[in-house]
Amino acid sequence: MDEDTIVAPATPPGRGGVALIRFSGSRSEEILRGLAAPLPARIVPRRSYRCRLLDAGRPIDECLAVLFRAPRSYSGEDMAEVSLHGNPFLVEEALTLARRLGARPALPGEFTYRAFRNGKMDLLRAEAVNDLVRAHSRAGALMEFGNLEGRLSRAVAALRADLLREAAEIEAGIEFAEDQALEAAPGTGALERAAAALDAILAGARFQEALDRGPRVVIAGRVNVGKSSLFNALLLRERSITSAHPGTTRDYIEETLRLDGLAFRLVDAAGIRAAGGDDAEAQGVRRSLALIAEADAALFLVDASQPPQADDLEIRRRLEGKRRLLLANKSDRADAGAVRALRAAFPGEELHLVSALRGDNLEAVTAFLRGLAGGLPDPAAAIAVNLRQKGLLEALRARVAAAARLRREAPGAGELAAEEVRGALRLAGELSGEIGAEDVLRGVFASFCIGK
Amino acid sequence: MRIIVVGGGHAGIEAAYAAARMGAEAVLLTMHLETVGQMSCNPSIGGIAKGHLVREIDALGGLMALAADATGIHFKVLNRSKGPAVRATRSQNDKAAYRLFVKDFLERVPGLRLYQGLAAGIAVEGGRVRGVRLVDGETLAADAVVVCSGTFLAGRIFVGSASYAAGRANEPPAIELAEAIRGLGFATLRLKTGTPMRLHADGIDWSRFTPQPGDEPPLGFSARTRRKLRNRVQCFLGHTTPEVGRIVREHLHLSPLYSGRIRGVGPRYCPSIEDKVVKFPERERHPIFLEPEGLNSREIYVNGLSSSLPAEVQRRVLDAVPGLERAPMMRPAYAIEYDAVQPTQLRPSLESRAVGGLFFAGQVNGTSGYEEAAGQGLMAGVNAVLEARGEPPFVLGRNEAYIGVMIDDIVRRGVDEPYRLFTARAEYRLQLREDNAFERLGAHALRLGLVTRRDHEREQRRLERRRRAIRELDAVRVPCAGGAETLRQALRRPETTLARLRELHGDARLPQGLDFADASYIEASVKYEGYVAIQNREVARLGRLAAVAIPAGLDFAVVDGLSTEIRQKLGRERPATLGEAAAIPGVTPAALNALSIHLALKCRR
Repeated sequence: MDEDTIVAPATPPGRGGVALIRFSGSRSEEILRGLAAPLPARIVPRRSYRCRLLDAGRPIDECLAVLFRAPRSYSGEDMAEVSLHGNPFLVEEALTLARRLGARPALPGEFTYRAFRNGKMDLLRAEAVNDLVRAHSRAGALMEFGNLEGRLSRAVAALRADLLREAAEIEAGIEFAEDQALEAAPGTGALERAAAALDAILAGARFQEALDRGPRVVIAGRVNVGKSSLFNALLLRERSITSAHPGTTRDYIEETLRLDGLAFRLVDAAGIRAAGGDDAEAQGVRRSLALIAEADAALFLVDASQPPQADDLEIRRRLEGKRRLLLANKSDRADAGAVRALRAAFPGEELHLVSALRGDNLEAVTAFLRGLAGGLPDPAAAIAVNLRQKGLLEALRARVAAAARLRREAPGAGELAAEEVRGALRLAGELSGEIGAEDVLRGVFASFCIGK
Repeated sequence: MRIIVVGGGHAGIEAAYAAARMGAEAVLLTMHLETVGQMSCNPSIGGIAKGHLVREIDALGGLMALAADATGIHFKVLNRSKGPAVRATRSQNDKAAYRLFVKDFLERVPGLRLYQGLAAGIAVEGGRVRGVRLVDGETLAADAVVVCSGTFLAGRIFVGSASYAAGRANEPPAIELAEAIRGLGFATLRLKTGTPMRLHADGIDWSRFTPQPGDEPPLGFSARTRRKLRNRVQCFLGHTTPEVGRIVREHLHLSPLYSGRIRGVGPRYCPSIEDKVVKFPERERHPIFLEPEGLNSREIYVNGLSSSLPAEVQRRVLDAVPGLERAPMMRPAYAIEYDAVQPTQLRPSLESRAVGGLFFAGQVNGTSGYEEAAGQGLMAGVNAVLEARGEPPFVLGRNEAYIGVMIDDIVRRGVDEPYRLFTARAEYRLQLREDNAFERLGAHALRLGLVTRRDHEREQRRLERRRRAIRELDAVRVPCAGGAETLRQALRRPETTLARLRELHGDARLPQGLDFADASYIEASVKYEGYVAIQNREVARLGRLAAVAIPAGLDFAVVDGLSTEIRQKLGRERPATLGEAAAIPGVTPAALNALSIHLALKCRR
């Protein structure tokens, strides 16, 4: 094969313990021998050799060299990897040497592209490589790993099989029903199965989105109930400015709270009060209401030392239907009568007494957050979906729904149902990269970092 | 200019007639003038996808639609209750009348000469066809030659353990021509087809079958047919029994299909009774259609019982079918094996890549069916004239005609079994309809001189009348569930037809003077509008992609993801654009992807 041998660093730029440089192509071994010595006459594939990195025969670093033989390599071609010390100048020099020996710098995603072209993985797995590296949470990474292992590929293959079955059924009805007196077959249920499968994948996608941006949890409460203190207590640091003066937090502050490998975005919103305060505060209040509306869940904070106020009831009204936890702060200064009145004002909600200042009973909050995550699908089973895939899956879902509706309501319009199923099959083919969507393929591989 | 067409079947007829219409001297060379236009198998023209082809042939000025109308004795629109794109016309024909009509018609065509003779070779000089060599040694000179040899190339018939060389029952095969074509370097493959037995009508117990009457009023194929069509016979539907399956299985070893004596590949879609029994063991019964062969014949064609079992086993099979026990067999079923030329050796014009001016059309290209053959014959006849004139070929796109779908399929992908057209093969099925063949092809036909201006203008007026009727639908508002809507909006709903709207809202409110085809056209135009718009965008996108240039010096060896075979093909053909690359046989969509990605990456480098 006359293909270029490509080279790129696989580790990020900058200083580090070790930097890894990869080669792929038929001249990998030749270039490796030009770069590293001593190597035996016959290199055993997949074995590490301790060598010296050579610049025109002069050693400049120690390195580890590994050779892979086609097709038993990531890209399906001959490949080599050289690990050297993680100094950007050394890495640059090694790359220059490699180029001098005939390697060409890899284009973005070219290693994975070659793997895709050589049939080592389908497009969905290739994308998982990129998405795995970019995952924002442990659960997200786990979902991407599932795709790398072929989870999404298998789901799409099953989907295609169902769509093909239905297409065959529809076409038989068109071509043979009258020509060959074919007896009508009962519905295969394939479209319904496909729709259910797509719904499950898309539900996973919503979960993944929540993971990517982190479920947003807003701390909601009227002014001066201690929202910023709670925010800081949960984050264990002084991020919000707190003071005893009401209305201190006029904008909102957002921080990531990591819990069990899951990222939550905790939002400290400005306190809400109906009247009083200056213009800036009024603006903050408006933003707080918007934040409450958009959040995935809320920590609803009231004051254990005071009976319920009008503002508390107003905030509660705005939290209707949202997953929430009722917290009465300042447990150290709690008033028994006030707490009774609060319980009576919010019937059916469990009230947790906490102290943000002293850190008392904050386990109630972490338990609530864990519960939130628990309501989400198991990341080891859910299917990760990137933006390109999500768009295709949603279009696919729409066409499957249209086909199912036509089959149900207009049995004579087989040619239209077939049109929808064909459209769905084309989309499924685009998903896995099997059918002509040249622009898509180019787009996918161009979004890769070099060296993957 | 002289065009010689070898073979007087459905492909040859259209090829010679098209060439003559374009002003060439057309010679239709056939072994046997009596069998010009012979319907070798079923007494029927059209059906789903095939009816579509017949309408296209008609829009291109061909003969098949006229002949089918003139000799039709039973007409039916299939899929009448389904969407307009898949409605298709089928006729039963009087076989003898069909043959006589065609011969008589061709005898009157100016510039067309029927000539009886046996072709034994193709005269080629300097890579170009010079004529046809006859078995008596004479060579007929020609500027282009179209080979339409059907099943005759090295044909061999099988009935049970007996087998003999034949092109069709009791007709000699073309052995020397087959050798001559192989001698020119063409790759051939062995295919197989078959025909069922014919029974004497008087022995059939018709009470055991369900009558299948024709449509009233009967609808035909051709826009040029003036005579009134009549249904003069009925067809009948019956079924085999489990006993038939048992008999077939018991005698399978006597079937040359299963004993291995036939090597040729048979049609998956028109299987023999042996195939049906073996491949669908769970089916207790298979349908049988009884079709009369003609008005002046007592022969009945038994559609569904094609077989290569010995005649006495065929008799036992018939004995097990209720109603056929006492029906005398007049001709046994047989299988025939023949040489086909692998059509990937042809250009999209059906001209062979190896020999200039030599064209192939019809069953010799590995297709099955009269209509498929006729469509290719017409295109080959037109292109033979254009090639001889030095003009660019006439190639129909997949979005223009089923003829285009079929030819693109076979020349690009080749065949490994007899190719039959289905509507499912068309990506743009909603646009390739019986009712709009003129709109799709009329302008081509006029430009090429395939139709008279008068015929063209009449169809143009019909089209305008239909378009006017669609506008009228916009102007009428009728009540609906949520208030009021226009008739056009009402018609857009699946399964709503113009006939239904007439019932609901009164005939007077709907456009007047529309026939069935007009109604189909209008329904399709309204219902498919949204889908067609999407498809047209897709066609435009593919067009843009096809225009992407491939640098003249590109070394295909450096393009990732191409097989060695495809690299060699591209290197040989040197396509200038992705579109040209796509037209090369064997270049897969995946290879095109690889090429297109390579071109894009190259630009970024």
